[in-house]
Formats: sequence, structure tokens, C-alpha cells
Amino acid sequence: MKNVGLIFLFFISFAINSVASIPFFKVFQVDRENNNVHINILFQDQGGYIWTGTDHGLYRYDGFLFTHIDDAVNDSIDNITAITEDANNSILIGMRNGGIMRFVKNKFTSITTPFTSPVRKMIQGKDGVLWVATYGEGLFYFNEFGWHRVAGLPDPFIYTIVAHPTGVLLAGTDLGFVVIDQRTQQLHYKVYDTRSGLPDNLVREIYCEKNGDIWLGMQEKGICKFNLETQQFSLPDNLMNWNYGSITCMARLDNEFWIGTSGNGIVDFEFQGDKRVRTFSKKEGFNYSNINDIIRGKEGNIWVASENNLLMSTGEKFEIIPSDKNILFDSIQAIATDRNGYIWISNNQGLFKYDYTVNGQIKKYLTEAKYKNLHIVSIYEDESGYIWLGTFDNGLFRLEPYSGNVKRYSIDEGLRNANVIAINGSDDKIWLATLGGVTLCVKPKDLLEEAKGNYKFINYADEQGPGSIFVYCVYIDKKGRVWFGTDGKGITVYENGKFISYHDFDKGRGKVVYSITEDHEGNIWFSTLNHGVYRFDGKNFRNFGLSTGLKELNISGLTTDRTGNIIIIHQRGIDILHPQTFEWEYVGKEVGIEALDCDLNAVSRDFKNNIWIGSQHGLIRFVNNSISTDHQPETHIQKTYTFMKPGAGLNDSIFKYNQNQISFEYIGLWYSNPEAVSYRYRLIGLSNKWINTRDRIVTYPNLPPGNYRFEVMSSFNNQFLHPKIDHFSFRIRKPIYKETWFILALTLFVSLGLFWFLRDRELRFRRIESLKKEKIEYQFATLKSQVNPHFLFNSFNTLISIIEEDSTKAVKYVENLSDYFRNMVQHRDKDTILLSEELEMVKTYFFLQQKRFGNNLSLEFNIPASWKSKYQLPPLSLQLLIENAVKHNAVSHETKLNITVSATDRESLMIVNNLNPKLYPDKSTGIGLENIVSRFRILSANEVKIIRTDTEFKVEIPLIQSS
Amino acid sequence: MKHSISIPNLNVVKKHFSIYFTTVLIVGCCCTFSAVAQEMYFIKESKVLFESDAPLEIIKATSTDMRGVIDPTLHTFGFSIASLSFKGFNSELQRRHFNENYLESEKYPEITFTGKIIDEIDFDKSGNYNVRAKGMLTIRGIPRERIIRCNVEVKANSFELKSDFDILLDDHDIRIPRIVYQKIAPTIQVVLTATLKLQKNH
Repeated sequence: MKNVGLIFLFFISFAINSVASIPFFKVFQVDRENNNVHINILFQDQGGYIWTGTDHGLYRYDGFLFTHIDDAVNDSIDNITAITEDANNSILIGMRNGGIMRFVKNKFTSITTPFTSPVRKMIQGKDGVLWVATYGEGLFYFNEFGWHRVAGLPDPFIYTIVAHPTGVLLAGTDLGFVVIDQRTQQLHYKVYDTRSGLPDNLVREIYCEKNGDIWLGMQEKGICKFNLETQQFSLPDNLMNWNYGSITCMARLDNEFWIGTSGNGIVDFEFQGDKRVRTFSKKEGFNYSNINDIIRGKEGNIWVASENNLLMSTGEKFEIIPSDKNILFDSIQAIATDRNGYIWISNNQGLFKYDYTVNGQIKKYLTEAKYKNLHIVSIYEDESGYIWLGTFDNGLFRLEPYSGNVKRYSIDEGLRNANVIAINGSDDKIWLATLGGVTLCVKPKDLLEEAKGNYKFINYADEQGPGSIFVYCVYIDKKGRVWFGTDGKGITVYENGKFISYHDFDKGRGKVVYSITEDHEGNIWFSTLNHGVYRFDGKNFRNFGLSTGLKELNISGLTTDRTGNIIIIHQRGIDILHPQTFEWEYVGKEVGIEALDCDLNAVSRDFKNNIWIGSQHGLIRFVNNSISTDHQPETHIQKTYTFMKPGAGLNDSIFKYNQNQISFEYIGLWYSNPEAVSYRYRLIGLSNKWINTRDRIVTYPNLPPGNYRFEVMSSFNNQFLHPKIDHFSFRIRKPIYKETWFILALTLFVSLGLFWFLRDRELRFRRIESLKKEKIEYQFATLKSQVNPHFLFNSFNTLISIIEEDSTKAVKYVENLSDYFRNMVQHRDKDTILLSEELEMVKTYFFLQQKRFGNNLSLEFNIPASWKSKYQLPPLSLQLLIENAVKHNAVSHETKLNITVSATDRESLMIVNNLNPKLYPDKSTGIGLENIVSRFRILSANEVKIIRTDTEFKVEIPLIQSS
Repeated sequence: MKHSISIPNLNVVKKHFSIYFTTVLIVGCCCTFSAVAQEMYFIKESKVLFESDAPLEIIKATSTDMRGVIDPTLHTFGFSIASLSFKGFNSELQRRHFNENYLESEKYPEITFTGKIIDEIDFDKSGNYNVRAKGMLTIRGIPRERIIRCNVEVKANSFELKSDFDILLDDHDIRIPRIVYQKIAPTIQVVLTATLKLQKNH
């Protein structure tokens, strides 16, 4: 979705000087790249947006911009002929080629349809079934089973389909009007055509009243009413002969229909109330002949599509009564409405009675030359039906409206002053506000005397009167009290024969009072010079100035509407003030009223609740049926930006930590006056305080990570009494290094690493420790065994015997013994020694032992030569094992001891000896074997294996590879 | 008179419509609307007059070559007239301009109007009927939806048709060169009379 190079012109045409009465229209032209964009259809969605379906696509209007809604995928979205909204508030568009698209989350998705004819109308019932009227292929509906066509309709050209309050559907076709009852399982329908009383077979538009009445717009015969129960058609009595051409569309207002035609503009048909029929066509200065669509918006505005123009009007709310050929309705000085609904108007051309209900009939009074330069500044109809006219300098006139007879009263007749500014009355009293104080005119009891005009005048001088001689207005409240607005003495009330003056309130700001009115609760409201409006509840005065919402201090008149709202007419338009909630509504330039230059109190409300305002520029009829308290602008957050770039964050509502400059663009839809909308917003998570603004965009820079909710509300009067709030919740992610999970994981990781390191270190220490201890124990054990006296004793005995036999051998024996001890001393401190070194020691030891046991002891080695320097082993381990074998076994001629040391294929040595257990074993320290096992455990990955059978004792010791 | 509706087969629907449109569009040919509508009204005699009342020049021409058919059962119709059949121009030059510049008769030889009758008419009952005909008027290959009022005088087995209406040149993209702007009016008035006779389809 983007804003295309779309030029929309915005100009105001105000038909104030045209010859006929047409409402005020604001005109927008929809152009795209200099091509006219023909508007086919208008639609307002639940959220308040105005959608226009054109030949060049879909446009959304928000009061400021026409946004072309397009889609990267579907570039052929044009020729839109129907728009509706489904139950999920998605926009559905129907096209001329029979296509239907759904617009959700800024994307179009196509709905497959079984037809190719133009879609004229779509409605979705409460049951979710979508009904589609096609122009050429009949009526279709789409439910959970798919598409179905309603077979057998009189004609396949369907103009419209609408839902009737009873649940039936009504369709208009070329050949009649069809009532479809789809409420039961079986679908039934009934066709009405000219044979059944329908005035015209071609039914183009249908409108259903809430009470079930049906209005039909036809091609040739205009508009007719249909009663579903009696099945009767009736043409309205004030529109029997339609001659405005073909009806294309219609919209229902409070009392009237605006009927769009092709070629003749709009027909404004009042079906109730005054029952006027007006046309807005070229003849009246309305230059839009071909009307494509008319809808009534939520604010009560009327939207009209004519070719490439979109027009907006306030409809029946405002009407500028144009000047007649003979009489210009300008420079109006006084205005009054009488019991018959006639409007009495005086201006510099004289006095007129205007009947706006019947073709704007105007009757002129006081046509004689002597009345030519009368300045009639006040008009009043008394209870007998006489019209009283107050003038500048020329006193008072009484007019008999039927005969036109006039009677004049001035100073000679008892008036104190000839300037009668205001007149009001009740019962037999008529009160005159003059520039010489207050004059009471008392009617005679006798009707004949009254007809003769014999009134009694009582003047109230300033002392016992209103306090000031300048009295500008007079108002009689519901309790019968008479209120006067004075110059200098504020507001004065006449009650129980006494005048009470209030002028000291609010620092004396209310000393000059121009207009007075009363709300439904009996509070008196009055306007003052330069200090706005005051409300007086009998005790207190409450001021309503510019700061409370009043738009202008130059107030020309006050009145109330039907519901008691205070209507304030001023130089910039009209302010409407709700007297209980103090809520303001303003209408002005946007509806075509500005710089009214109204004369003082030139305002009057008739019994039909029309408010008539006389201005320098014309006569304005204003109907305020309801203040818009229940209708506030619909607030929408339109776009989010990060760093002023459109588009949201991840998944639309999650932003990265560095996407933290976020802007929101929002709008409060208020087509009546888009510029007047003000906003309040806040960002929960940052601050809960509402901030007032008129800007439509807010930027939050440098938002810290966290959860936020942006809320915005709008108001057309800055009061935010029943605001509609839109919100956007989002999250700004922490950077990854600040995320809790990340910190936790990191901590865990580091602690584990540390733990492993410490544990490893501890283990290593412990191993070294234990190795040390083992070594010491081992050294001790070997030392102990080597210095075993038994070994020495045996060795020495052997030596003695050798010395005796062969001294040379003895020397060699002693050398070996000495080698043995030297090697032991030399190697015992080392962790490991080479296998060759160990074998050397074992051989020495064996030599010593063999000398003792002779051939009864044998030792055999099966070790590859390459192993000797390739492998290592703890010192004395092999020697100790051999020593053990010798120690624990009896060695004799009968019990030979054979020891073999052989290499295995597992990088280990296998020491095997046969078992000849001693009858009296040597005392064993027990350390020997155990010590070997534990030493190997520390130094090698492989265990020492000890296998004892009945005949053999086997020990397998692993070898350690030389580094 | 309640009709019950069954859910139709969509292919059948489409087929039905394509048949419907093709038949309507084949004008003056042997067409088979339906088994019921065996008898139709065909144009026997016709006169079509058009007039362009421009400030500088009045163009008038007439054709008697309109062909057409009306189905009295379905109340549908089709009319067609060859552009070249118009005669009676002020001059040969005018005729040539008409055919070459404005109607482009070579390219678009036929003017057609096909559609249906909106208002009530009983072809079995003699009388005068004022009815609207709604359909597509195709001139210069450009179709426009029109609702044209006509007067029908029904007699036994035949009827007289009379109508007059306007054609906007703009509607059919008939562009007038600036130089002859004063010679051709933006709207053309057409007066049409025809006699149609009931005839068995063959």
C-alpha cells in the first residue's frame, strides 16, 4: 500500500448567490497521473474510513489523503464495482470482471468465483453467507459448501441485493423485484413485476427501513414504497410523476432521500416532515449530473460520487436559503417564526413572510412608500397572532398578518423610547427592550379593544427598572420570569413585580449582556460583551469562554435546539454546547458558514425545531437533531516507522534493540472538520501520562528494551469525553548479551569450565601425591627386602661356598652383588626405567640367586630385542615379581622353579612361574605385589593382571611406551 | 408462486449462459433459442432514419435493410443493420465521409442492438404497447448498454415497431475532426419503424 502520485484537488463551491437552494458541498477530485479516476462505488467501513471503488483501483480517504490501495502481487485491481466488509472487518471488493478480492493486513487475496460478469453488490449475512449480485449471470451465494447460484430468477442482471430486517433478502433486477427467503433449508423466492403492481420492472436500488418498510428506486418511475405484509406498492403522493431520469443510487437521511440520477443530478425527496421535493441539478447550479453513488456517513454527512468527483455535504443539517428573484435574503436585521411555521424576515428591503415548505413562497409586507426606510430590528408574534415590529427610531408597529393592517406606537402613544431592540411576551404582557429602558405593554381584556389596538404602556425607568436604559434583549423563562440583557447592569430579572440586577459576578465581566436563553433544566444562559457565555443556575455564574471551548467571542445570538443544547451563533459559525456535559461541537467553514455577520439576535427556532439564522449573506436553516456526544472520531494508528522508515519490526511488533527509534502515525477520522481533531497519546512502559497534541505523528527516540503499549485517542472538540482509543503493543528486544538466557548460559558455561579445570588439577595433584607415596612405600619395601638379612645371609653363605670352590667365581659373585645394590640405588628414585635396564637388574639378581639354587632355578626371557628400548616400566617391578616367585616357592632338586618372562601381543610382559608352595612361607610384607599393581595403575592405562591357577602363577604387567 | 431452488451445477450454468449470449448475438440467423420457442418474429419491412442537426450542415440518411428477430417467449431480440446500407445523403462526399471517417464501415460493417424487453408485452393480444428495450448497442465496434423506449402495435401474427432515440457520438468513440465540428452534431437522432411477422423457425 502506498500513496501513488495522486493529485487531489480540494476546492469549496458555495452556492450562496445561486438562484436555488442547494446544500453546501465540499468537492474532491480524484485524479491519478492526470487521468480522471471514475468513482463507481462508495463505502464506509466500521472503522470509519471512506473507501472509493474506481476504474483505477481502490482508494481510501481519511479526511486528508486519498490512499491508493495496491498490492505488489495483484497489479490488476481496477474496475471496482462493489465494496463490502465481512464479519472480520476485512474489506471485500468486487470487480467488473467478476473477481472478488479480500483485503486483509494490507494484502489482497483473491476469492475464486464461478462468474465473470460485473459484481454489482455484495452483502454478508449474520450467518456468514456472502451474497453476490452479478450483472449478467444472476445471484450467487457462497457458504461453507462453496458457491451456489440461485436458479430461476426472472433475469440474470441483478442490480442490488439487501437484507430486510425480517431476514429475507431483496434483489432488484431488470425484470422485477425479488424477495428471497433463505431462512429455511429450502430457498424460496417471489418475483414482483408490473403484473403484481410494481410501477417499473427495472429496480436499481432498494432501501429497507428498520420498521420493515421497503423503498425501491426504479429506472423510470422514480421511487416507490413496498409493504412486505400487504404486498402493496405505492408511489409517494409528493412524487407521483417522476421525471428526473434513471435512478442510480439513493441514501436515506432523517426525513429525506437523496436520490442520485444519471443525467439530472440529485433529487432531494422529503418523505416526511415538510414533504418537499428539491433537485440539485445543473439548473440549480449543481454541476454534477451523473451520480454514481450516494452514502450517508457515520457523522451524518452525505457522500456523493459523480464521475471523478467525491462530494461531501452535511445533508439536511444546513441549508442556505437562496435569494428569490425579487428578494435578496441578505442583510437580515430581524427574524421570527410564527405559529404556522412561516418565517418573518426584515432587511433593508422591508418585511417578508417566507413559507419555505411550499416552493419558497414569499409575501412582502409594509409595501407602502411611508414604510420604505423602516429599520425593523425586532419581530414578535403575540398570542393573538399579531406581529409586533420594533424599529430603530420609529417606535413599535403592530401588524395584522391577514389584512396587512398596521398600527404604530411611539412616544406619543406612551413609549418612553422609539428604539425597540427586542420584543417578547406571554399571556397579556408584551415586554419591549428599548434604548430607554423596559416598556411593558398590557393587552386589554376585551378582544374588540385589542383589535382596535388600545394597549396600556408601562415604562420602567432606570431606578426601579432594569438598572440601565440600554436594554438589548428580553427573554421569558418557563417559570414566567422575565430576563433582560442590559448594557452596564448585567442581567436583570423581573419577578414578583420587582427587578433584580446581577452585574457584580466574575469581576464585573458580565456587565453587558446581549442574548439570553434557557436550557431544559431551567438554567439561564446569556452572552456578554467580550467574555463569552455565562450560565446562571439561580445562585452561581459559570463562565464559558475561549479556554473552555468557545470558538469566538463575537456572539450575535443564543438559542437552544430541540434537546436543549445551547446554540451559540458567532462570527466564525455556530458553537453547540451540551448543557450537562459541557461538551462543545463547532460547525463553521467546513460546512460553508463563516463570517456570517449576523445582526444581534437575528435567530429564531420554529415549532418544527428548525433554527433560522439571518445573516448578511443569506438565510440559514439549521437542524440539530442530536449532538454528536455518542460519536467521536474513530482513532486509527496508520503506520509505524523505525528511524522514519516505514514498516514495523520483526513480526510487526517485536523490534531489535537497535530499532529503537519508533514513530507512530495516527488519525482520528472526522470528515466534518479533519483539521479540528486533537489527540492524546501515551506510551505505557515509558510513561502513563497522556500527552495532548495536534500532530498526527509522534516519535520516540532511544527507547530502552522492554514491553510497551502505545495508546492514542482523538477528539473533535479537545474534550475527550468518550474517546475511541487505538493501541499498538510492541517489544524492543534486549541485545543478545543482555538477554537473561544468554547471561545464564554464559555463567553456566564458565562455571562448568572452571569446575572441570579445578577438578582436573585436583586429580592431577592427587595422582602425583599418591605416586609419590607409592614410590616411597615401594622404595622402602624394596630397600627393606634388599637389606633383608635373609637375602644377605643366603648371599653370604653362597659366597662362602663359592670362595671355597673357585675364587674367580667368588669375585664375580661379589661384583654382581655389588652391581645389584648399585643399580637398585641408582634406579629407585625414577618413576620409570627402560626395559633393558630393568632386565639388566633382573639378570644380576638371577645370577645371585642361581648361584644359590643352581639348575633348580631357571629364568627364561622371550622378549623381542626391539622392545628393550621401546618400552619402559617402573623400576624394580619385574625384579620384585621374580624375587616374589623365589621367595614364595620352595626351590629344590624335586621342586624346580621355572620362571618365564615373555612378551605378549598386548604390549605387556607375562611373568609365569610354576607353584611349589613352601611349607613354611617367608614372612611377607604384603607390600610387594600390591605396590606393583597400584604403581602401574597410576602410570599406565592398563591394569596389572594376576592369575593364579593350581599349578601356575601368572602376572601380566603392561609396558609403557618410551616417549 | 413459490419456486424451489436446487443448487445448480455450475458448469451447466456457464453453458446455459454462453448459449444464451451466443444466440442473442447471432442476429438474423437461424437460431435455436429453446425447444419451446419455435416461432419468432422476423423483420419484414423496416426504415431507419438518422439525422445530424449541426449548425452548418444537416446530414440525413435512411436504410431499409435492417434485419432482426424477436423471441416472443423469452422477450429477447436482436437487430442488425449494415452501415453501408444507408442512402440518401446530400452528396456522395458526405456518404463517403460517413462510411470512411466516422463509422469505418469497412472495419465495422454492422450496427447491432441485442437485448431484452423490460416491460410487459403480450404478443398474443392485439394492442398498443409502450415498452423499454434494454441491451447492447454496438456501433463502430463499441458496445454501450442502452435502454430504448419503443412503441409496439401488436396485431395477429405481426407487429409494428416504432422508436426514436439519440446516439451520442462520444459513446462510441466517433471522433469528429475539428474542421468539421460545425458540420456534425454531437448527438444523432434516430427514427426507426419496422414490421415484424411471426414465422416458424427454419
